[in-house]
Amino acid sequence: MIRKPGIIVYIIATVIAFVFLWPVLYTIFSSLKTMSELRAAVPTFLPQEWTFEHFFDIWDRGSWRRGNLARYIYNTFYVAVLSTLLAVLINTMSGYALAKFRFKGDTVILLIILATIMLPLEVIMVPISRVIRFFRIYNTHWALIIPPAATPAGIFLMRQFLLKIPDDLIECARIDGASEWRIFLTIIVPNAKPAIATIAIFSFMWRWNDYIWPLIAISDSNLYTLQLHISTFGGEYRTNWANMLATSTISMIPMLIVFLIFQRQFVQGTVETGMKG
Amino acid sequence: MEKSRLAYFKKRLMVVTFLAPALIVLFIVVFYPIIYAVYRSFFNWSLLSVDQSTFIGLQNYITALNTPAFLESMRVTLLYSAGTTVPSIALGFALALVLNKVKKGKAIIRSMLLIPMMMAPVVVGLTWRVFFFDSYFGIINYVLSLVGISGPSWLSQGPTAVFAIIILSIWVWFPFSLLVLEAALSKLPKPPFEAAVIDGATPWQCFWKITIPMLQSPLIFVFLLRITTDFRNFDIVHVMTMGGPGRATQLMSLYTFFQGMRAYRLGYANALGVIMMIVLGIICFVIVRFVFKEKHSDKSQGGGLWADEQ
Repeated sequence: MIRKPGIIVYIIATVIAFVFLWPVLYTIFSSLKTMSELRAAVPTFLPQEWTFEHFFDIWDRGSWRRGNLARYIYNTFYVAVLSTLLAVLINTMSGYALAKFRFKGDTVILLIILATIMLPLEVIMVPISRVIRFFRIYNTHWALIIPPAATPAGIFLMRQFLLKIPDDLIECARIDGASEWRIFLTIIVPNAKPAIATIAIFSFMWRWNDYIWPLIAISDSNLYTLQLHISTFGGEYRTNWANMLATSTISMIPMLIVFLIFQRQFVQGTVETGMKG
Repeated sequence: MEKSRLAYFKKRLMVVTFLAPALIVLFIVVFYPIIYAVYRSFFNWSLLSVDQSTFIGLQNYITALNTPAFLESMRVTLLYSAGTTVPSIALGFALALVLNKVKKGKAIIRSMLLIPMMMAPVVVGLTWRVFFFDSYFGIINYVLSLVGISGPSWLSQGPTAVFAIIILSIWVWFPFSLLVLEAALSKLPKPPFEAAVIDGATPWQCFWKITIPMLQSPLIFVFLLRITTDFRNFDIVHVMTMGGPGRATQLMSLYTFFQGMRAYRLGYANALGVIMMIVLGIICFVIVRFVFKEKHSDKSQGGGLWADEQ
């Protein structure tokens, strides 16, 4: 009884998809255009004349007063990787505790954790900046690594996933005399791989794209992440338009690669917990 | 007996060990700052004045409510949130209904839809500023010029700047509603629809009488997540307009940021944060209670409610 999808449905779907892909491609292609072409009155999609000059320009330390691009890339990788490792570890641990142990107040703890999904960081940025200073991690990368590591959405995702692992599996191991840590490492972690992958991907993406945490926690430009660095183009984009595009392209490439490999987890994670930055 | 008690304590200890790292971080980064923000919002606390800790009661709140800039930011925030949330969900829902009909290539389309969400807000804000809204280079004005209209300089006039950030936010966020609602749609049972069609129901009736009621939970989920994100939006707007021109796009989050992190009026900024939390709480409450008429849904469960029902 349900009508067959017409060709129109496919056309609409293709148009939608293109609308989303277009700005990304346009950014990348524009970063390969010459300056005169960027300033042309009639914009084209593909470069008429392909050039990598802007990439050489931003890479070359001498001609570039803002500092070393390699350093910003390194900073961003460092922060994203360490924070992701930490996030995976502590979110898996607490997700396991909330899924497989019954104790007083377990639902209360879960509800409190979930309530923080709704809580805007922007609302508490002043106290957070004081907390960061109190722990003496202001203006260090630790301020970007540790505080965002415990993600309520990640804990929740892990809990939901681990609920599906049969209790018997854990109980058997206990009877066989396995220690709790051993159970965690040899039964829970291998079985939780899909959830771990999702948390890792999202965590990496959040830290890679993050703007507000570095803005609050970092003031030394040597410690800047790529995003903070790109935002400094904001004030003078007309003169440095080409460099801004080239740097943006460089910052998008790792995310695009991660995305192409893990598309399925991205869709799944977004749909299941509303995972978002 | 002894042994089982020992096992019991061992288990207890494990729970604490497993939960501790995440809870400690959340406590330090979220719970403590909230309490501290509320407490400090009653103080005259500024890094630029000598007097750092006089208890002044509700004075910061009274000041906020009498400050035109704040009231303006509240107005802009509400306009922006409503202007982004409602259309992005409506558009997402409409396209979810379309995508639900697609059989081949759905996975690719879904992946592409995620691209705006996985792009860095800084990059999105800056590239849109140049590619779309720039009065000289912008595509929008180029297209308008083709039909003989000379476009406005979008980001240098109040109303068009607000319009610009709304359009950009819809572009970034409607795929989220689309994906969640499409996933929910594809899991709906077929029989009610088949029965309705046999009884002669029009597609329009099917939609309002069957689809909408059955999608109640995912709709609430999407609505709450969207409104909380839009209401506190910061990065894209900060990069794209810096709150300008003038104060035209100065959302509450930006105003709070400028007061606290730039003007160092910390007590005042804390009060602003508390006001934001209260307003957001009221909005969520109203949505859950009155718009969806759901009696027992706890907003704090967010995705939980929905995910449990899968």
